Amino acid sequence: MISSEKQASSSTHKRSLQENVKVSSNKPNRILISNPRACIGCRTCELFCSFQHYNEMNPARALLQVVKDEITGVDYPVICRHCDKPKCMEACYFGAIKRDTQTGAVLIDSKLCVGCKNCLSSCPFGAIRIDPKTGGVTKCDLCGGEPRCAKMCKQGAIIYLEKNVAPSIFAHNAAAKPAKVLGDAK
Amino acid sequence: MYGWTGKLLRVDLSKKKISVHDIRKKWLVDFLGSAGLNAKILYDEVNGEIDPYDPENRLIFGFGPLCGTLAPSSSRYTITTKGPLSFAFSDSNSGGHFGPEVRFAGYDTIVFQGKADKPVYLWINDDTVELIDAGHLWGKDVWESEEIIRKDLGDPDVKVALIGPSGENLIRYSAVINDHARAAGWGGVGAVMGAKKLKAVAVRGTKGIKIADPDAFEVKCCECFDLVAKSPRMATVGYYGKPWLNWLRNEVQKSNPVKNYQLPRVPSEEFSKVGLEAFKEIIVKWKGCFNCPMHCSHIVKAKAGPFCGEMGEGFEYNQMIDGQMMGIYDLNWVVKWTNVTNRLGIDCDGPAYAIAWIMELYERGILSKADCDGLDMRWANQDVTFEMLRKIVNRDGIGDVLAEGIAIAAKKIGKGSEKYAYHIKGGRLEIDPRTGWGTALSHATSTRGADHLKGTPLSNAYGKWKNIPYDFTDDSKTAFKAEAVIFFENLNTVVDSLGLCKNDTWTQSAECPGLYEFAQMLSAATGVSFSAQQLLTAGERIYNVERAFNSKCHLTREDDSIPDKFFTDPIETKLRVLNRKEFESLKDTYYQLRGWDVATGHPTPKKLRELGLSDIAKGFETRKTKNTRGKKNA
Repeated sequence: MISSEKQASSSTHKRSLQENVKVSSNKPNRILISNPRACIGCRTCELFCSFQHYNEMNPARALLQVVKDEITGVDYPVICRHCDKPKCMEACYFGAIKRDTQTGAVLIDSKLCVGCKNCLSSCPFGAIRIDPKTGGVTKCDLCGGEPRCAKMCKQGAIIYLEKNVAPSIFAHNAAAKPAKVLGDAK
Repeated sequence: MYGWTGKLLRVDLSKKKISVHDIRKKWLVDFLGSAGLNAKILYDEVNGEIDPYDPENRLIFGFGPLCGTLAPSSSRYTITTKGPLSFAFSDSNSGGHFGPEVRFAGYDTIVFQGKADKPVYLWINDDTVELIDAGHLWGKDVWESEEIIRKDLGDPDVKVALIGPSGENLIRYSAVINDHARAAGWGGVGAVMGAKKLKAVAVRGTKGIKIADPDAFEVKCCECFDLVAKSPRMATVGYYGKPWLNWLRNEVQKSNPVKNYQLPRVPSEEFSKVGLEAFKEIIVKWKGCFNCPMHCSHIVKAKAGPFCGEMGEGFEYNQMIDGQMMGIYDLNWVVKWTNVTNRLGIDCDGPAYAIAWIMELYERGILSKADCDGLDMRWANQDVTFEMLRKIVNRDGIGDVLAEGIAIAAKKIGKGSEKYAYHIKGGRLEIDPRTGWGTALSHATSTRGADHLKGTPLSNAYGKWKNIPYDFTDDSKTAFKAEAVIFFENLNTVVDSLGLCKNDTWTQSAECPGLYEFAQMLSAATGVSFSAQQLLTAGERIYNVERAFNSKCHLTREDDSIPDKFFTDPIETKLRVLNRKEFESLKDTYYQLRGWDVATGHPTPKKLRELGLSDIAKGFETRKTKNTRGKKNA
């Protein structure tokens, strides 16, 4: 019984991966990046996320979470990275997790989802959420291509960038520090 | 209901009874919520004669209609009670993430009454509310207790507001702490919580807040975010946080409390040790409260000295002047002081001002080393500060006297020590009244004792509102000062009642969101139409209720006073020194404009009726206006 279930699941899973390959060659080329070093832990992202999706202010329903550690002072925006090889997609027996061709977002198809929560434990980043209202799993959908969290984050802790631009920006930011030291030395 | 949740949670600790009530819509519209509604409930339910630690006193947590919403800096909640320092109206305000979480759980107000027979804490999980035994937490510090509560409840995202050993031991200036470093420190609300044997309020909310007109609300809130981002305060407080105020007061306004007001400010040659450049050295990162673009808080790390490596949050102007009051010009000490006071759950300023006062008495020979339990209480002696703090919190030796606050301690110690205990209605003086007339008047008339956040004109918003040229920094003349103070008292009450932070509103900068923006946001959020003038009138109404409660506690015009020192010793500010005659005539003008009785300072029934407070007015017509407060506390 168990083995047949497994077989069935692995074939679905394969199918979804193939779909995935086809789609990603279609390259929606912007990526959502979490930058904890810049995060101040204000949770504006959570608030606006819940507002964007449900028209209410309820961070418990937000599709991302800022994990706060008051002892170390670390604020960590836990966001879906919409991985190229999503672990949640691999873990889903029913092919309910798919990639949106337009935005590149990894989405849950609620019609196919049986609520097994496999995706919840498989995501290495803890980005899968459970909606307290419906009890079903949810996740970031990139707001259809314009993620509200990134738009609202004035600190640059969540950023939405072109794939080829992002590394340049980080490289320049990193280089700014030694440049300043050199400037001071002069 | 939109905007407001409209629910009041009443917890009777004596009977262990928890009930949920609907709040009358008229009350919400008239008193807005949070601080305003708290004041109304306090007035209606608490007798002016009772001791603050009496089970019949109320401890009211209020959460405003914009708290937890998209409005910038929507993190604030207010705790109101009959305070153990002033023996009158007392409220205290805190940010962080606790307030919004209670709103998400579906409550606008929590009223605690009675007294538990053994320590308990309240656990709010949306509609499930229960009292849980806190015997294992009693005696533990704030940070430790918070972690234990989270572990016990099995949820790492529970938000907790709690007291530490200080509140348990009824130190009169105990705080309620949430999110490790956010304190409702003013007026000893933590001590009242300790007297009720309530260790903590833990909350998890998933119900959310509904808005009447989401689209309009969102547009307005985003506009406010832009206003804050563009305001000049972003470059100052937005970057340096409150330590910027220390620089402003010391170097620009030339008045800063140092060595128990012996010095008018930190000497220029010493200031670099506590200046902005020194502060920059210890910043690790910025921190912000819930939905706040201003992020005035920092994580800081001590870089040198015996406290090297100590890291913590909540480093503010207050803690800097705590050090300066004791003659300590060392930011590394401040980091340690911040952490220790947060852990003990004590208002950082309370013990600092008490110790600074003891240091002055020691210097003047009023107290000997033996009187101070063998401690060498000379200025800037860092070693004794923490030992004395420990003594205060444990009520050990002289600490037991200081734990009562300087007003009562001075009466106990006597020997002329009263002359050096600077307070108004039991509240410590955080800003020098000689800064200017606006500062002096607002400190004297504040309903909760010396305080700059009730009515001190700190921005040009009054000019903007009245459309007149007005410069708040020109504080050396009495012209327009009473009018401005009344405006700011009403305005600040509105900000507190909405659940917003004063840091990025008209209170602190006329370029930030103000009454017009509040009215638009509140109208969109609640579906009830508010105008800016209506809000200001609501502020006036609430302030009158606060004042009326003080009258009920027998406070009169004489309590709106300022310590003699500030009338005699000049400093470098433009005003230099207060003039008694001018001060009294400014008070006359203030009471007249307020519509209060000039002789007693009590609100008049006519004024109360005008504000729609006829139930309170009725009680006032028969009230005797005798001042018995002094006798009572002696």
